[in-house]
Amino acid sequence: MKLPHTNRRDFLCGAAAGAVALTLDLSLLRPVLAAEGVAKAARSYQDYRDVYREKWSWDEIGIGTHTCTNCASGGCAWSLYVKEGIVWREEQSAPYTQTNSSVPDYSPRGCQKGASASALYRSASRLRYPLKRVGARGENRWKRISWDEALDEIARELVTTLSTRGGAGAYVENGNNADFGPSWIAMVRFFTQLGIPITENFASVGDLMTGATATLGNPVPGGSSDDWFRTDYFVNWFGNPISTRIPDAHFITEARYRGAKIVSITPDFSPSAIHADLWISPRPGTDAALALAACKVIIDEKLYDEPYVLEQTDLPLLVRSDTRQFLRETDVVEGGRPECFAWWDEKKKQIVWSASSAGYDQDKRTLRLQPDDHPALEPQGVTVTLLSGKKVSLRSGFSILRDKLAAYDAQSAAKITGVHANVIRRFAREFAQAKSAIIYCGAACPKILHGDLVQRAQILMAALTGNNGRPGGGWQEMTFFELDGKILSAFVENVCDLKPDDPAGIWAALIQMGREQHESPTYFSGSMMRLEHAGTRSERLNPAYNDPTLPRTPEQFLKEALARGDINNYPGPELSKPEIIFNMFGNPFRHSRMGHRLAETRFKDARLIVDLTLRMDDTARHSDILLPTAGPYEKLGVKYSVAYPPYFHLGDKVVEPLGESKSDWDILALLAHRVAEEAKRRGVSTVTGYRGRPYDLTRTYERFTDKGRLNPEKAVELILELSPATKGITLEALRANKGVARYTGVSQLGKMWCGTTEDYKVDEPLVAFMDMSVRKRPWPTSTGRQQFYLDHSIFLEVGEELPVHKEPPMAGGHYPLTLTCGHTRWSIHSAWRDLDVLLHLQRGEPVIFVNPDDARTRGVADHDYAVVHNDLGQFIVRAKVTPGIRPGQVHIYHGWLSTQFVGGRDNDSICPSPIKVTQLAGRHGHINNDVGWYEVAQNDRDTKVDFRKHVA
Amino acid sequence: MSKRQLAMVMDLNKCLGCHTCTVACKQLWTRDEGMEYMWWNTVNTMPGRGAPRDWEQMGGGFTPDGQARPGRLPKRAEFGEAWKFDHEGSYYGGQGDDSHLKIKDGSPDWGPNWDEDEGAGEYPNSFHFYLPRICNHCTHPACVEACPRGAVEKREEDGIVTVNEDRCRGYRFCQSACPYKKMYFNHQKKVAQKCIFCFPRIEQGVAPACARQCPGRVRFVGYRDDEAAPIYKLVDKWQVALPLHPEYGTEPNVFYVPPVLPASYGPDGDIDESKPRIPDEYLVSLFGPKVLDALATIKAEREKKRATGESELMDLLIAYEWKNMFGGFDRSPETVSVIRWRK
Repeated sequence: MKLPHTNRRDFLCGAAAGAVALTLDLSLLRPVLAAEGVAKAARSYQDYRDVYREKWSWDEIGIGTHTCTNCASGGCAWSLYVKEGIVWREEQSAPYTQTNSSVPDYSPRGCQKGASASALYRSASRLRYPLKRVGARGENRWKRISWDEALDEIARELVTTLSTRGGAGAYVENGNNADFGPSWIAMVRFFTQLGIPITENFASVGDLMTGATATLGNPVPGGSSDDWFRTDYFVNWFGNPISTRIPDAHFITEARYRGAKIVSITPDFSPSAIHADLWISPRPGTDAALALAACKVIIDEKLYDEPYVLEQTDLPLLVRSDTRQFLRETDVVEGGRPECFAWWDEKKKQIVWSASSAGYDQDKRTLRLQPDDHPALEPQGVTVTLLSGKKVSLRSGFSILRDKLAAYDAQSAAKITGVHANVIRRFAREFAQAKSAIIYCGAACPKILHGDLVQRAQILMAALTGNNGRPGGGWQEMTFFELDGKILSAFVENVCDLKPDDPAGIWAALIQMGREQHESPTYFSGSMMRLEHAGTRSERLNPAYNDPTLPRTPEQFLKEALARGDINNYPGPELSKPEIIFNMFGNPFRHSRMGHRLAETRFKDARLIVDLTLRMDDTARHSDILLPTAGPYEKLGVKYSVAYPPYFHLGDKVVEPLGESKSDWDILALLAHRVAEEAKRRGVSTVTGYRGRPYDLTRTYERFTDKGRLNPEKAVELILELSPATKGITLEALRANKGVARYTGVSQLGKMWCGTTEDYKVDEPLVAFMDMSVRKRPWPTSTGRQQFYLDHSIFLEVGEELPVHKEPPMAGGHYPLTLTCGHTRWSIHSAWRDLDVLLHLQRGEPVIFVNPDDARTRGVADHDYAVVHNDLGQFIVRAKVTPGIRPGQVHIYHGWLSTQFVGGRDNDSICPSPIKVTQLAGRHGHINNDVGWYEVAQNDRDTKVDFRKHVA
Repeated sequence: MSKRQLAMVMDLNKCLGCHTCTVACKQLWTRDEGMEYMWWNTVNTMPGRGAPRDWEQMGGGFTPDGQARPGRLPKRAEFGEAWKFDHEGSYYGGQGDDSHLKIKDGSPDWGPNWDEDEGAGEYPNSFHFYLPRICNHCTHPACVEACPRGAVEKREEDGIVTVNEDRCRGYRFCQSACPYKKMYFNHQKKVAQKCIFCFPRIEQGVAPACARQCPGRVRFVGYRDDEAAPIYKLVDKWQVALPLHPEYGTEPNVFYVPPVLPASYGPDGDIDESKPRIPDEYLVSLFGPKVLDALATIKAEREKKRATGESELMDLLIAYEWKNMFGGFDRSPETVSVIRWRK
């Protein structure tokens, strides 16, 4: 790597290398310096050591973090060492001092991606100026154009489309790699006010844990990572935190030294398994059977926490034997409260309506049992007379569960999972007997078809043992310190009128925003858009790739759910033929399963495709106009607010944008101005959003900037001022403290943020669900309890009212191997994937990991090219042969760009992503089918494949 | 003998294999021409062939009776090149899917981390761990003894071993002599170059970049004889940190806390507590026979910490306060105003 300003250093190094250095008189340089008017005398060269001292020097230090990537570890504070206007290197600034002497501190955070980010932001794939396609889409032929040319053309096309088809004539492909400050706010403000919809991505990329939503009323529960240090039993299940939570992983290795037992459950001997005391290697996709067998051991051996189960879970609640639905008050009481559920009191011998229920008198709702309450866990012979006069018998959820678990004795589970029965028993006992136990559920879990069942079974383990809502315990994914000010700045037109000292006014604005978004949502389901409009319908709905025990085809389930109106945010026919596509913060050609089919469907039909992008990538190649965006060190930004580090992270603008690139904010502000001018010129005023809301196109710029009051600096100030999580933190204070401040509170937005807890203290680890376990507030579910029994008709029809194990599907056809995947240590999604310095530390090309036996029988040697194939097609990749891979497993780490594969097809291209029919449920208590909450997700890790040696 | 000796302890139970150390070093020191292929800091999966490939078989160092042991010169291909990629062709070449991000100039067969995550053994008892390496800044450095020019210097004040590039003529005897193969050759400048223990930082009270930037909190830094600091306690008091290949005879000043892997499985698939996942003989081959005592100490202290909450050793390894890992070299670089040539 050669930096533009290294000439002088090269000269000095070269001089030092030879004998000439011994006689070199650097005082010769002094006249030059003097000529520049530098008063300070240059230091003379003494010996070779000065060359190295000179290397470690800088002109100034800036504050930075990598705001453009949704790295799930959250923020890391970096100092940017600037020489001559270029960020020459970065180093962690490590400002995290110890806040609690009983846990290790957070310093230094960071990883090798962060440490090479300055190289990434100046790498070969980074865009320097606007480009316009001159060849066919995807052909890679471009010409340089000016910003004026680019923006004028886009504004003209936008006004044409908006004035004829309204917002439905365009849409935004959106990835997750947004900075959580001005960039994201700019995107949402710009497109929301034009009524142009944006694809939601949480489920589309497959991260949404619907099993958690269904059970806990929260798809993103978790705490801060220093709470891991306090656990006595850490179970990494599906995840690989040693590679994917690099700044947080030390809390696991340090917990091990504290005496905690570390367990890792993945088919392969992963980088995280190395640091465990017990590695369990189930056959891919059989994890629910493992968890349920553990639950059976816990129940059979009476290792469960009965008072907790009675108070905090739905297991004592009564279920009707005729309908298999919960008994509701409306069944037996005239004018009864809907969503009011009951348990049987074994002393009073009567039904008691649970005060936890969502439908209970709102001011009296609680989990707390009264002194004279004696709920029965397994009442016998209970019957009730319905309003109709019919008598039905009732059973508790626990009693039904006990029956269901009969199928998962350790021996049977051993046959399903390939894990020895003694190992299952030992795991269950150790888990139950630990003072506190965490299940850290990795984001690979929702990426199998039945991931929701696995989550429900895992959460059952944690609930039976009383771990959810316990310090150092509980089922965890990851949570966020949601920034209310960020949401408001994005969605509220007159956000600058809100006053930080008026929480009621802020709350009213949030409510109003929620109402507007309900009527006219900005986001629609990216996962369903791919199914309906991106050429993947036949694979995703193929019954042969789905659960073979389904009583009907997936398509029938889908049609029924749509006919019932159960799915909000569904991309209907109005969105089938977009004329203009924008892409921001992502690379849908890579992050969608079968993403390459976009080229033949939506991208083929569109008149204009605009990509606001840092770099060239798969999606940029298929676009028409590329607008180069500024990188994180080149604009003001806020980092993804994951709660692992409970710290807010600012990224400052330290250097000018590279080449002609501009910040997302500046680009959209310029475009807003031109759209308004073009509309005035053409006499277009009122147009409609995609859900029919009218607006005045000539006010585009005025609305985007809130009458000229909003800009990136102001947006960050609003985030800080309007968010309870950052109360008292100012931009000035952040800049004085390396861009970092500990969060001071939790969001007003409530139920899914910050692990549903208000018990956040600045000097203690954050623990999820303390509101329930300590304050006895009901859970955000229908029953107000951790809800394992789901009585929606689809769940009942497919036999999933309680968690069960279902065999992994033959997704992609009948092939002997399973293609598993996981995040890599080497990239954040596809960012950094094509960076030379990191490729040097790999093999420079995409690889699959395969077991030596599977390689040998196919005649494939290490580093041979292999063709991995199934019904959907193939991709070509190098083979890496290692005994750490389970026989029958083919593992590929995620994020390779399709442009890195010989033949241009990546692993996602052969993943059929069958739909999980229970994810079509909606309008049933807390099971509401909304984006980011509960919806059909994409998945890939049941994909069946085979491979053979590639002969070029 | 230097008056004092700087040393490093690397805890293999905390190493994530993330290479932040490697990249931190690369970005700071080895990006210039002729240095692109150098990785003064490497992290390799062990067992493995490492970098340069099969370095453990290349000889060098000293025999037990103190004689120089013959060593061979590692070839450049055994380190691996800094491959160049066809970014331009794949994005601007007009070839669509027919082009991809090729490695220019052929098809490499080795690199600095080629056998990452491979290891040895058989499923389900395969085993591997990560071994980060820098120059060992040995007390008895073979490179210093091998240089006919006296160009490899061991600093009096802190024992850091550096190449005096003003004196070096590029004879490369140092490269053959170093049994750890941590001496590199700059083919552009025709001088040997190597890890400098970040002496410009050390001089300012700042820990080396590989240590200070390590998010796994793996590396302890300090003077070998500072009895109040972690290095002395880990190496001498608790004797849980051991040099790599002590039989090479160079007396390294980098020490390793040996790895403890998960339990192994018996032929029936049940857990087999009787044998560790990493065979003892393999660890002994790396760290010498004392490694078994070190493992026993770690096990006992971990159990003590679990049962009582108390253990000086575990508290040291946990490193509750990060800055205490650096034996006083805990200054923030932001507070340093470096003396430098004016631009």
